[in-house]
This record gives sequence, structure tokens and C-alpha cells, in this order.
Amino acid sequence: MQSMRRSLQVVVPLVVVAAHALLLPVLAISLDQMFRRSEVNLFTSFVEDFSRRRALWLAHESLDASDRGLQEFLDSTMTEGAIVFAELIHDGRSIRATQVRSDVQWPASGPDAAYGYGVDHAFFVSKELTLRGRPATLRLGFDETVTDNQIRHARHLLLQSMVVYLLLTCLLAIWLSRKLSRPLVELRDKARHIASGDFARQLATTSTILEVTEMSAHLESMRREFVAVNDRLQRQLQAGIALEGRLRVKHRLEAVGTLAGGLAHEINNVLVPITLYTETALDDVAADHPARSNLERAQRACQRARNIIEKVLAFGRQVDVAPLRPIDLATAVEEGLRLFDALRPASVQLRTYIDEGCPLAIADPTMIVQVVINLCSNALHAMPPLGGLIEVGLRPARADEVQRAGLGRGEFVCLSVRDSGSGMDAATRERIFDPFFTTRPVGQGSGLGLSVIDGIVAALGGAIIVDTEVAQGATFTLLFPAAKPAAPVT
Amino acid sequence: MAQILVIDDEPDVRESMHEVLSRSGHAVRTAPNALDGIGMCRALQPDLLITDIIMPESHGFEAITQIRNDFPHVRIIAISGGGNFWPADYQPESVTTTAYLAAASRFGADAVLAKPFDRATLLALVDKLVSLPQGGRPN
Ligand SMILES: Nc1ncnc2c1ncn2[C@@H]1O[C@H](COP(=O)(O)OP(=O)(O)OP(=O)(O)O)[C@@H](O)[C@H]1O
Ligand SMILES: [Mg+2]
Repeated sequence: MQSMRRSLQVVVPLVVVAAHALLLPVLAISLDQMFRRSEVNLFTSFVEDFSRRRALWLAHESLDASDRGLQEFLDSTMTEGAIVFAELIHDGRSIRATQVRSDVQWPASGPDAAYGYGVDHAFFVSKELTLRGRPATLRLGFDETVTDNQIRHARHLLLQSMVVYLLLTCLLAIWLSRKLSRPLVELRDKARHIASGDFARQLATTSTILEVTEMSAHLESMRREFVAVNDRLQRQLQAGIALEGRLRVKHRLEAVGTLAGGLAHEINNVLVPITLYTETALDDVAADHPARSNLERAQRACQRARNIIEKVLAFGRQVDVAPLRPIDLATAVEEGLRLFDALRPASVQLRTYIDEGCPLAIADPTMIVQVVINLCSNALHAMPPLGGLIEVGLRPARADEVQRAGLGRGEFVCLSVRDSGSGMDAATRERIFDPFFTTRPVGQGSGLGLSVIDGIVAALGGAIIVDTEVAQGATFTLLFPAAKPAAPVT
Repeated sequence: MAQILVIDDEPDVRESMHEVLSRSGHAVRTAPNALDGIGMCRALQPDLLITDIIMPESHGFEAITQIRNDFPHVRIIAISGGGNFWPADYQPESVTTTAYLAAASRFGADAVLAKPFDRATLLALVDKLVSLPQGGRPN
């Protein structure tokens, strides 16, 4: 049916022209007929009236009934009306007006039955009368050409005005179709953009036609609704993807944690004899013995191995499963910062912004202390040799942060650690939460710090946002779900 | 100088502890598992029992329960490296070194020590427990 569809700009003028093509001839013919009839009526009644009056005049006694008198009467009759023929039949004689052209003849068939009879362009009538006691016939021929011309002229005028009328209506139809179709075309083009994915485009159009503006307003509110629904779905989808990603990471971490737990037990058992034998061996060597420094190194290595195992266990959730409860994060953060302060060189400045009005959060204080120390020591390691600034903030989270982190509704407390350090490129940024991922030299970083943090934050139902750029420092924003305010005691 | 019995399934752990403790003047005996350890404990009536928790066959909780029951005056230290009984049983969320050690003290251990530990820590704890008056238990 595609071929049957036509643009509004074509349809409206076409319909108008087609309607006029049917109606105008009918109208024209009947108007023409009407005018002709009235002209003819006018003409014939004049003819009737005139010839009757002339006949009466002839029959009047006071007329000079001599031949000369009759001739004069006929001549004057010729000059008064638009008359081409005047003759009087009397006593078997015919008297004709002198002005009658020789080519004008009384028709052999007698007077004309109607206007336009014959080809002579004259209307012949005869009037019987009594002249000086004897019957006579007055024959008159009236000129039809004037009326003919008038009828023809009127017909021309009619045709002309109809053409003008048709043209004007066509123009009007075109204008109207434009006016109707312009907002529709505009809406169509915008709808096409929207269909191709540009949902931000407004579906509005200006028009003086009420229905069009109303329709456009409805369409626009439909679009808004659609965009809102779409946004909501997109957000849900994103949250779903984020959740799926977190779950995947969680499973991976659990698998690694299982392995780590088994390994830790074995290695802890191995570390006991190494530590104890090294220490007893140290007793046996003299203070200046060359083996002594090596043994001391071995001792320190044991200590490091111990630290690593601790981190591995923490990473595998082998942290103490203290019961979670509503705590004041500020206290835990301050405790973490106090411990971190001991590690901090003087070249690195630490500023804290702690909002005391934060809601309580469901957590365990040791977890938060660990998070703060890990984040701050990462910041410290990212510092250039000249030092820099670390800023730690604790405040209620903003709605946009919660949304960005893909978290659901609810109140969150935001812990942020910002540093003026080296920052990270996108590739590093991608992998920082991977267990054992580290950019620090072998033996210095285990690459578990952020994995542990991620595990803790996930276990608490929170989320982490990382903002960083190379040489621009890094900001870690952690969101912890706030504890629901306890029901008022009654 | 005290009589000390060490139970641990790992020979290296056992022997290194034996060496450290005897060097600091204690009389030390060792057992490779809980069953042997309980038998030796009955025979020797040591001042102090140091036992691992996770061991094959019979684990340390049994030794702790029985000794605590039969010989209330014997001081007990539980040591653990955490980890799992069997890999299939491993529960990352619940089983931790600290959880084991906490359980041990509920079963009656006087003190707990996470592996690995260094000599100073071990000796300090041993001395502290041994010097307590008979039958007294630290809080
Ligand atoms: N504030 C930061 N600025 C720049 N890079 C950082 C920052 N925090 C983390 N990183 C990058 O992420 C990596 C992983 O960090 P993570 O804390 O997991 O391990 P690590 O610090 O290398 O080792 P450790 O286990 O000792 O913490 C770091 O090696 C570093 O490349
Ligand atoms: Mg780190």
C-alpha cells in the first residue's frame, strides 16, 4: 500500500482541484443558462411591449393614415428601437421602412417562435391590428446581436472569474496544506531522530493550529516519559552489570581465599621452625661472627613472610568475623589515622575533614582502621620524593555519588582519601583491585591492600569510586551504608 | 624450670619448640598427635601443655578438654596456624585463626598463640603461665 500513500502537500491541492473540476462546470453551465434566460426574457418582454405599443399607436385614429404618414411611422419606429426590419401589410400592400437593409428579409416561415430562431440574428414578430376599419399586420424585426453580445460577454466574465477563483483556491489549498503539514513534517523529522537513538531531542513544534500543538505537547510528554523509563532501565541494567561484576570478583576472591587459607596454614607451620631455629642459631654465634648478619636477615625475612600471610588471610576474608554493628566511623577513621601518622614522613602533609554529624554505619572498627591505613599508605607510596598532601574526609554521601557507585536507595557515609601523588593510567586503574596486582618493586608490595579493602567494602554492602589521572593524584571514595536509625524507645 | 609437653603433628615445629624451651631451662617432652599426647600427659603430669589445634586423627580440642577435665592444675597453651581441616571444608567467612584460638580458650586453654610466633613471645607466655600459683588461671 506504500504507493497509495501521498504527502499531505499533494493530497490537499489534488482533492481541491478534483472537487472543483467536477463542480465548477456544473456551476458555470447553470449560471450561464440563468443569465441567458434572464437576458432573453428581458429582450422578449421589451420586444412584446414595444411592438404592442407600436401597434396601438398605429391603430390610433389620430395617426396620419396616408401612405406618407405610414412610411414616416415605420421610419420613426426603426430609429426608436434596436430594430432591423419594419413593414406594414395593409390592403394587400406592403410598406417598408426605408432604412431596412436589402439583405434583411421577412422569414418565409413567418414570425420567430423564440429568441435566437434562424440564422438571421433578428427576432421577427408580427402584430395584427385594425387600420381605418380594415385589418393590417405590423411586422417588426428586432436586432438580437446586442443581447447575444451581452450573453457572450457575461459568459467570458464568468469563465474568467472561475479561472481566477480556481487559481486562488489552489493557492489557498497549497498554503493550507503547507500550514498543516509543516508542523507534522517537523514532528516527523524529530521523531526520526529519536527513532535513531537521539532521545534528547525535544518533540516540540510551533503551530497556530490547536490540535497540532496539543498533539505535539502530548508527544513530547510521551517522549519524556519514554526517556525517563529508558533511563531507569539503563540504570538498572548498569547496576545489574556492576553487581554481576562484583559477584564475579567475589567468587574469584573466594576461590583464591580458599587456596590462601590452606596455604597459610602450611606456611605458618613452616615459619615456626624457621623463626625459632634462626633465633637459637643467633644465640650460638658470636657477636662478630660473619654469619650473624645473614641470620638477622633471615629473621627479618621471616617477619615479612608473616606479614604477607596476614594480608593473604585478610584478603581471603580470614579476618576476624567480628559481629557487625552500628559504629561511629569517625572514631575508627581517627584511630586509623593515628596509626598511619606513625608511618608518615614529615614531607607528606595530612589534612583531615571529619564531619561529626555523620550517621552511624554498619561496620567493624578494625575493618575501618585497616581500610584507612591501606588507603593512606597507598597514597604515601604514590607520593613524589619531595612529598605532597593527603586529604582524608568523612561526611554523608551525596546522591550523585551513590548513583555513580551503582548503589540502591538509602543513606550512605562517604570516606574519601585524596592524594597529590603520581595518579594512575587507565590500564593500572583497571587492575588495582585484582589480588596480587602491584606496581611496586618485588618484595615491597603484595598487591593485596586494595583487594582487602574491596572485600571489606563489598562485605559491608558499600562501593568504591576511584578518580585518577596520571600525575593528577588519586581520590578513593568509599561509600558505607548508614545504619537505619533505631526505632524510638517508647 | 618447668615440665612442658608439646603436641604438634609437624616434626619441625615440635622439635624447634623443644630446642627453644629446653635451652631456656625447661624439661620438654613432645608428642606427634593428641592421643599420644593425652597418654603422656597422664603419665608425666607436666606443668604446662602446649598443643596445636588442627591435627590429623584427633585434634587439639580433645586433648584440651580431657586434660582440663582430668588435671585442672595443668596450664594449657593452644597454638594454631589457622587454615582448614580439609580443603573441602574451608569456610572463608567463619574459620579463622582467631576463631580457632577463641574456641580453644572456651574449651579451657589458659592462653592462645597464633603461628608463627617468635621466641621471645613464646618464652614470655610460658614464663607467665608457669609462674602463676598452682590451680590459678589467668584472666
Ligand atoms: N593512591 C594511589 N595512587 C597511585 N596508585 C595507586 C594508589 N593506590 C593504589 N595504587 C596502585 O594500585 C596498586 C595496587 O594497590 P594495593 O594497595 O592493592 O597493593 P600495593 O600497595 O601495591 O601493595 P600492598 O599489598 O602492600 O598494599 C599499587 O601498586 C599502585 O600501582
Ligand atoms: Mg597498598
